[in-house]
Amino acid sequence: MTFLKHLMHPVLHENPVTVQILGLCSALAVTSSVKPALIMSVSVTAVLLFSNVAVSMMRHIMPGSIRLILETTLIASAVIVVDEMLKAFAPEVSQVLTVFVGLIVTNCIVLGRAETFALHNTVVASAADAIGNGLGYSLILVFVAALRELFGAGTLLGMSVLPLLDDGGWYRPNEMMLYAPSGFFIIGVLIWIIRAWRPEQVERPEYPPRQFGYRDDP
Amino acid sequence: MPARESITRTLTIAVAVALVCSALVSVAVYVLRPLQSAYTLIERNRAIVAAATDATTELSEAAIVQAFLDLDVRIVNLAEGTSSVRDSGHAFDHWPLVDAGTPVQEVPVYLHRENGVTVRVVLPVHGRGMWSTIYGYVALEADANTIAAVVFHRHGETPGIGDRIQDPAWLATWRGHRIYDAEGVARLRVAKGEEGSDPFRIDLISGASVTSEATGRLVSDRFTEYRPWLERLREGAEQ
Repeated sequence: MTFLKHLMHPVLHENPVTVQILGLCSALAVTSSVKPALIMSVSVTAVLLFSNVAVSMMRHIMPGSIRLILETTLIASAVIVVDEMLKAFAPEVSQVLTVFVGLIVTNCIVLGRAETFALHNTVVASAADAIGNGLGYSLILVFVAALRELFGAGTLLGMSVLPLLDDGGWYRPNEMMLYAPSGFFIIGVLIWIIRAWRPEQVERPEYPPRQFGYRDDP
Repeated sequence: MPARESITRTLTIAVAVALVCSALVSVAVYVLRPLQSAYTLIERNRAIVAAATDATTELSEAAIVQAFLDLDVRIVNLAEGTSSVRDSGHAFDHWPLVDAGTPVQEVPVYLHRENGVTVRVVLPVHGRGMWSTIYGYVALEADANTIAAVVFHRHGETPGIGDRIQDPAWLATWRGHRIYDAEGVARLRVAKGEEGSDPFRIDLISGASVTSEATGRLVSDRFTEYRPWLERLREGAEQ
């Protein structure tokens, strides 16, 4: 039961993208169509799973002074392996994703989960947490990519859904959707909707709001 | 076992993690390399076939291999300006030498022939872009001077900016431009200006000017080396 809880909590309540606002760089860059977004999701989940499990296994023997370096080394190695596998098994998608696979190293979700969760929890719980965070990231990524591909190119996974004017259909594609800023807009609106629906996800202000007025005012 | 924060313990664990991680990466690279080079080879052949036949539609891998084997291969000796036919011509490749930085003596060129007549000559080009070496193929019409098609199949230019040198719409603007002037000097270049006013100038890509200018420069550099052989080809001394 706790396995399921660790798995689902990051998807619904602590979503890495919409609640923690992490991993946005790649969420903007690879979401112009669904296929690269799917492959990116799988890659990030695989790296997360590896790093969380490895860090959790080593949590009792890892010296605190070199903890971050060790975590980064493990993450970087996993990213290289994933990148090489993509180049071998999905070369076309790998050319679309270009540097963004390598940049998984700097994806705050991965190091964030290693530091805040895997260092303090069992291997099984850490694996669940990794898959959960991977799913939460994937959910947003694929949703944004589906919207952008549908309205930007009239297709989903390369298959025609809205017939284009150029091909004798009725839909005029919104090219803006294919540029990175629209990824920002969609994620922004998405966060707004989620927080309007679940106000408990709105962050409390870190400092009391500043009062403006005369210094002598009470 | 020494204490958790001792120097011995720290060093031991650092070395152990480094060893395990490097083993992991090495094994992955070693195991996956053959698959990756197979793909690289297919992509090279796809570029050559695209330059030789304008096959813009997505060809299956088998169709690419077949179309590639249908091309005639000549191995050109750059110093002498002569060419020869070899049994293993289709397997010959000078890119490994280029990658290693060794001077290249021989390059493969591909002839697309219809009914025994050469309709296109495909020659390899490479040179420095903005950050990386750009590799590609240029196809000439039968006059051995007019550009029929250009493909850049491998580069490490900026994603989203410099990689627009692979944009089919821009590559199509190369068609019909000429490389050599009346004196036989390779004058082709990519520069800013009105399209169509100069047969040797291709308009650059705004926003990617450094990379696109480099493609013009590298094509002219290579074709300066190819000139002796191409002149013999034009005179009919090479078949």
